Amino acid sequence: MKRLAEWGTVFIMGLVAGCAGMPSGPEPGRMPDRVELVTLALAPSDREQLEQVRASLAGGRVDAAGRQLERVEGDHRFHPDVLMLRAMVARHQERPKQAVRALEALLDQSPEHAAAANDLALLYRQQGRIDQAAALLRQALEANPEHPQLHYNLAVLSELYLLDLEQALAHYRRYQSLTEAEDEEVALWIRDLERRVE
Amino acid sequence: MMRAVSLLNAGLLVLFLSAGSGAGATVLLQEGAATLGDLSPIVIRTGNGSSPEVSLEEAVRRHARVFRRADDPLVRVRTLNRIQNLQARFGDPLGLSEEASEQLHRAALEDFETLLADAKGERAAELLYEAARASDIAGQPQRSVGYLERILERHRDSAFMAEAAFRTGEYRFSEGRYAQAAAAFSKAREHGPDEDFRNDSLYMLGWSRFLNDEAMKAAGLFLVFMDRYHEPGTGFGRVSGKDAEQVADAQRVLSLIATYDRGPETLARVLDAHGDRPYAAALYDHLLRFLRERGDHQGSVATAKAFRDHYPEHPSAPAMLTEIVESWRLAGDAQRMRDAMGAAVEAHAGPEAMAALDRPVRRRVMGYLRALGVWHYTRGQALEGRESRRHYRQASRRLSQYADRAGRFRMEAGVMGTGAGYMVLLAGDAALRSGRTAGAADLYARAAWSEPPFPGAGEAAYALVQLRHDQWRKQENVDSRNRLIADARRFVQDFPRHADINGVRQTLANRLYEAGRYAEARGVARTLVEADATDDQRRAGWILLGHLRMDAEEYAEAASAWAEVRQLTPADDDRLADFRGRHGVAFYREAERLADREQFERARERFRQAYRAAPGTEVAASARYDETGLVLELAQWDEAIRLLEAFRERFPEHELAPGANERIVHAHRQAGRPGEAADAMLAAIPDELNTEERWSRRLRAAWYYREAGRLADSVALYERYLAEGTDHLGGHAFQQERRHELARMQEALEREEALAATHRAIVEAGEGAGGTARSARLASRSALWLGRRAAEGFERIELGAPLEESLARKRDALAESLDWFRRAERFGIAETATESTYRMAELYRQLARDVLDSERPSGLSDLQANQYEMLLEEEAYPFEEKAIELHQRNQQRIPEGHWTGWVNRSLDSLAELFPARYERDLQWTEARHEAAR
Repeated sequence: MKRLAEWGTVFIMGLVAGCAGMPSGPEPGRMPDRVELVTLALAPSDREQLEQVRASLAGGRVDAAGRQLERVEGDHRFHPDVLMLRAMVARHQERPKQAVRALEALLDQSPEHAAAANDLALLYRQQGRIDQAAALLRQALEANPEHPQLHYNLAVLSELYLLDLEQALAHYRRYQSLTEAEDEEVALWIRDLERRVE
Repeated sequence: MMRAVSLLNAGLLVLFLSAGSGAGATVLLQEGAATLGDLSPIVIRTGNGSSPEVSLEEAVRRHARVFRRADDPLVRVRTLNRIQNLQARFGDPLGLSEEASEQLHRAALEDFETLLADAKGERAAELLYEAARASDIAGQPQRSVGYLERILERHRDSAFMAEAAFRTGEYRFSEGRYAQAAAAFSKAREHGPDEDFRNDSLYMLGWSRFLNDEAMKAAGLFLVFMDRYHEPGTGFGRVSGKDAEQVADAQRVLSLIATYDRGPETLARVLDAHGDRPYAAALYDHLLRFLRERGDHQGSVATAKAFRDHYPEHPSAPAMLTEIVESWRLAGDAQRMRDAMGAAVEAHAGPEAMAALDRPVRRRVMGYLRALGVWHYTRGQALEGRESRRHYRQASRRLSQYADRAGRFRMEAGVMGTGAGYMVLLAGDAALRSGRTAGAADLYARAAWSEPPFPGAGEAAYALVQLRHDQWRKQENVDSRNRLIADARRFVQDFPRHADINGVRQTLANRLYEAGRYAEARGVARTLVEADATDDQRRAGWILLGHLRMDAEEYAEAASAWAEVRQLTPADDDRLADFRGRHGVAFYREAERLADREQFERARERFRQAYRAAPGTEVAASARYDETGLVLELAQWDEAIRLLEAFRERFPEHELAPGANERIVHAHRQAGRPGEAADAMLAAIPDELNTEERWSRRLRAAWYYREAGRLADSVALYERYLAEGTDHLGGHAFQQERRHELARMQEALEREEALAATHRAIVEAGEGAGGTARSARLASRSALWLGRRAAEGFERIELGAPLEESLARKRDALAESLDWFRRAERFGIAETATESTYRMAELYRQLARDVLDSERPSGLSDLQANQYEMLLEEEAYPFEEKAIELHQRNQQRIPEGHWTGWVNRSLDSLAELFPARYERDLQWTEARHEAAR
């Protein structure tokens, strides 16, 4: 669903003529079916609020982060930043399904959102959806080929879950090349893989 | 016959005839006449007059005195003439006795002789005539004839010639001298002054010839005689008086002539000889009657036939046939009479032939038709077989003909007093008895509805209905039924007062019902039950109404009808049971209808009525049973159970008894008493059930016990089934489910060994047969359960010195556990396979740990201790390798799409066992990084 220009008013327009109205809001992180989404520009106060959410998460204050996020969600529940943070909060609260819904909604709006794709792939892995996770990472890498985290996670998935050692080796190497400081542990894995591949 | 009346020329006195003389006339006597020459002709006046009144007797007496006193022959003769004239004029002796008259005339005879001596010509003839007359009166006939014959001889041209000849003929005829008489009459006929005289002479001439044995001449004379009287159109009908007598005499003579000779043949010969006559039929008719009166019936018949032979087209020819019939009747010859009747009707029964007949003849011919019809009918009744049918056919034919003609000639039929309708009815009956049912039906219908109304019309209509009924019973097809319906309907409509009306209504109603014409059937049946009919008939009506109302789903009304039927049925009637049943069914259906409308209380009442109406019957059982169904609908479980138990007791052998048991079970369950439901079910398993059904019931009971929490009871039934019943009920999958359920209950009852046995049975059964995915899953779970159980035993074994011994026990336990896990793995269920693999790996891993953690022997030196540690590590290493290998097996299942929690746990174990290769931390997006994005 394409992203529209920021407007000065908030409404949800039914795609079907004559069905316009203001329905009760959908569950956070879940896209309503067949509804075009209009996102609003965040006010400075909202931006400030989101920064507080990030700080709380970084500090391990997950519940506080959740409460802070709710203050912004009223008018901005479909804002990409809000969705990303909602997924993070949900994951930390061990509510993986809610996190999945938020990230899927986010990728609907922003298919090239690397962080969203990364975390969603890891959530898929937790659910045993290994192939979907790998595919999502590969897709994200096409839009973000320089994203080291995507290469790393794809390398792990290939090594442990897909048993594709060559792919794992390639992505580990790519990961090493994209990181400023070479990861020694990863270097060991690369050497082990090189032996195993040979 | 003295015809001469001379003028009276003289009279001395004028006599007035008084009114008391009886004659309204006056005799004027000329007073003062001195001689006969002075006498003026006597005048007889009528009306008022002034002359002196003298009675006629007095006048005769005075004339007689004049006669006796006078001497002149002429005066005497004229006076005598006057006396004769007065007597002739008034037709009375007028006081002059016969003896006195005879004396006067005798006394006058000499006077005549005296006068004749001088008389000549016509005067002589006149005197001869008067003398003949006087002689006759004087009692001297021979002298009289003498005078007459002198006229015949000497005065042929005289006016007295004919008279004299006739008088002479009479004398000779009376003397039996017929030839002379004939000669005299012939002269009289020849000289007769007028036609009458000549005809009289002819008549006497005929007689004279006849008596003189000149038959053919006589016959010719009589024919001529009759010719005078016969007129075209009226025949002899206008002849009267003496003439009629003479004509009859003439016919009689002709008949005599024929009779004395060859009968009708002679009559024919006469007519041939003298020319045919237009009144020949009268002659033949007279002859046949003449012969009949003489007892000659054959002659009479021959005469009639002769006439028909000679005059076949004569208008009287048909009448001759009827005369033949009459002659044979009088002869007492019934067969010939009927033959003659048959001939008559064959000749004239056709419509136009009948119309051409004279009315009397037509009436007789119609009578023959009727008589023959009736006779044939009676013969049909008296005889049997083919002869009987033949007579009935004839009867039908004749009576039909009669009826046909009677319709056209109502007057004749009316005279006979019997209407055509009865004859048509009888004809129909005869046709039926002769086997001509179609014709019979037409005749009955005609008698009933086409003929003028008559009292027997209803019987005809009823006979037609009976005929239609018989045809229908014989043919049993739609056409015959429709005909029966149509005629019965007409009957009940037109003859409502007929004695058998209600029987016909009964038949009609039933046939209408069979024809599907329910509305009409209902109307007739309703009339029947309201009529003054017999009990049987009214019951038939009510029966039909019962059926009709049932068909129309008017069950309450149907119940009323069947109640009426029962009331009209004697207690010992075999059908009473059937009627009770139908009565009950009507209530039963009404109850069903009310139940469908959710009028449960009313429906219950109807079910009870059905139960009471047909006690002990199938209906009663069903009604009582379905009443319990209503009670169940009303959720009155205890009431339902009470009724059902009563039902089971009342109808223990009824086919619904098992259903009652089922309902009791159901009621207990609905009442929240599954345990009682199970008890009821087990207590009432019918003996007739096959083994499979019996086991099915027991398993249902086991299920109810389980619902009730009576697991022990349930487990007992399950165990019994699995021990004894698996050959009779259920296949592999079914039995696996039961074992699985049993296992769950045993687990709940904490019956460890029994539970293990059940799991083993599940595994063995699963391995022995290709079941469903579900049964494979159950088997693999059981194997897993057994593996876990063995693993727990394995874990409980502590390794200690001597290590070999404890390790051996540990290995045995491991082997058992591994065996179950492998068996679980072999079922190919991802969930249990990955768990089994994981658990096997963990067993090896545990074994490795246990080896490494095992009790060290005491008293070892450092070197020995180091060597022992190395020994333990060597001992443990293969187990650890085996663990890694098994966890890797789970890892390898990931690319195959088999991801389970056990796979994930295997990866975790691998990370612990081989961190360098398997411990990998995935990188989540961190919040701060996300913000910097």
